[in-house]
Amino acid sequence: MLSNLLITQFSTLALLTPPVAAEYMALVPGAIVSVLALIIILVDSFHRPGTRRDYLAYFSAIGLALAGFSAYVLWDNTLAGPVFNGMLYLDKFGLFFAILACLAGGLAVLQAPSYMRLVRMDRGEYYMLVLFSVAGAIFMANAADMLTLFIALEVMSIPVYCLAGYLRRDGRSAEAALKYFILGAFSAGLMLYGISLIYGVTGTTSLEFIGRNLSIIIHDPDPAGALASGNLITVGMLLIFSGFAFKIAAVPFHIWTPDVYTGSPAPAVGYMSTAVKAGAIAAMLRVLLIAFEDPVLRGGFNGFGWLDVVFFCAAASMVLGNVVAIMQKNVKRMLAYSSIAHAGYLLVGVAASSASPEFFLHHDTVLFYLATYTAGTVGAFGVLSILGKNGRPVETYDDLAGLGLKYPVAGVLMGLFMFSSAGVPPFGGFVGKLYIFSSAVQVGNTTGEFSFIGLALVGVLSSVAGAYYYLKVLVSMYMKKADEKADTEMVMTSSAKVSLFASALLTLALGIFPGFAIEMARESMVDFQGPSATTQKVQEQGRQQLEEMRQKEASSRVVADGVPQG
Amino acid sequence: MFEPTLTHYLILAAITFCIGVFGVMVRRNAITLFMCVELMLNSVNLTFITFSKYRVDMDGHIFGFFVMAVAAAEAAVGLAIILHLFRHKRSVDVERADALQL
Repeated sequence: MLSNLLITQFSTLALLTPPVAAEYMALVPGAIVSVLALIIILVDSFHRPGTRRDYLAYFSAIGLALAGFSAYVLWDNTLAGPVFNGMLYLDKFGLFFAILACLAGGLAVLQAPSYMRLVRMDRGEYYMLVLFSVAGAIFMANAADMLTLFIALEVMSIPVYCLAGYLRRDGRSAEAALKYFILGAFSAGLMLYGISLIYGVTGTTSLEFIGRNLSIIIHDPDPAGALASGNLITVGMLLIFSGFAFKIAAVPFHIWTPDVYTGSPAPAVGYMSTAVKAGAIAAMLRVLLIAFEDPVLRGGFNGFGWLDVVFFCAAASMVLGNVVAIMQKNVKRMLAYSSIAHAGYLLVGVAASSASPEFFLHHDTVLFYLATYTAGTVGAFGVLSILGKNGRPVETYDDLAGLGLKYPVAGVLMGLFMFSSAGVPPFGGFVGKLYIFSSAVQVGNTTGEFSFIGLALVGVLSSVAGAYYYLKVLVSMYMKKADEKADTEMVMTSSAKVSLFASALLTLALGIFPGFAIEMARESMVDFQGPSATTQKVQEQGRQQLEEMRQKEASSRVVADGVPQG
Repeated sequence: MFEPTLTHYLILAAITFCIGVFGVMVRRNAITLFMCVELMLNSVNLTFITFSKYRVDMDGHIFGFFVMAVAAAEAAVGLAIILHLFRHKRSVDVERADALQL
């Protein structure tokens, strides 16, 4: 008894060893963003009344760029295994999402000054809330433990609830905030109950140990024991997945999306539909691929498991999102349903690449698609946040009538983002969709399982339907007659210009030169920490392939340089 | 003398959780909805502590503390949002929050 106690005490002491200096690097991107948010609060409280707060937008954007750059510097300095006693990872996967969250946050804060001029609500809280939420998204992608994951999820979500209710004078904004808050807290409760059940079964909250303990429990030779904990595991897994599905707005957890997107300020919607989705997808991949990695839990070819649930959610989200989006009259509402459809495309990538460990590296399709989706969606909401009609921001198709000809810059940019979201070449969205669907078809061909090809077919067909409502925006912008009596305006501040042109450039670059981003995504999946030995072999192969590719490129470059000119 | 075991505590937590979920689904008052969510979080805490005691492992206790801290932060934001809604609608009935249904 005493020896037992002593061992417990010693293991606790061993856990309390201070982290080494290299481990602190895992905190750098998130810490930069958090400190910046605190500085913004301070600066804003000393702000002289009556002057504009546009400088805060630049200030936050430069800070976010710095955080993104720090993640890029850390790119080749990742650590194997978890850091801070198993609380965080420092791997390329987390850094990729850190860069993505900083990008979405930076573009969204730069759009704010125009929108604030339109709605006459120049407040400094907006920047601070976006920054705190970005910090949460960064830590969520790096989480190695259910505890850090849950805290990061809340740090990411709570500021977004506030952002939804940002327009104080608008009752609809209050309503959006209430709906988002109640349902968000509800889904967090469901997820927590799932975590507590999994903790009860495995006795740990660390993702890697959960994975190990679960496979021991499932393959227990005593069938009675396996069955008793099997029910708890199933319920826990479903509850945790429902929490993530809510955050990425996948059917059947999408009910909140249209209302919240319609009522919230447009630049904040651009943020919440991209960075929040990215953070939730990252954490979902961590949980599914580390904690619930066992083939029995995975399901698919081995019976029923989370793969089947993801598969169902993907198909349902694509079909419902695209079909209902066609019937909308409000552009923001249409974009909300289209964001549900995009969640479906992302889940197609997750389902296809989780079919078997040999396809592990195909998860890079999801990462790349998130990058293209971020560029296109934040841009589209950016255009909505600079155009106004009768003293308020545009919202419906009728509001947009004729604005494409009146404000050519806004029209051209909107066209670019809509084409990208619809998946028209040569824009980023096209390459992203192509990459995801071709991965699904490849998985279907290799495994001989037709359902993945079917899923890709559903995706392609529903995205064709999606082209209708994206192009409808352009039809009303260019071919409808402008309302003569209406008082339309375009508030193009310099920061909005930077944001819109940056997202346009990114959309084009991801479509024309996708190699760079795809390679980054592939590297992140190769460097993904924590999966089992089978997957690590696949990762090792992927690492070798990448090295060979690099060497080939380097040698071809040498040859090209060696050729005498003229 | 009746000795409550692991199962009893878990069943109690499950019942409380279900009451919370049911309340969120049927009640119409925003404050009551919020209290039901808190009820869910508390039953999560009870589950954590039960398993923690049963396994002689401190992780569950720590998780319970963090859940409480986050619930407090959520309460601060949530009550502000409900107040915000009340200023506009003069009511906290969620049935009346229907301006966004097109």
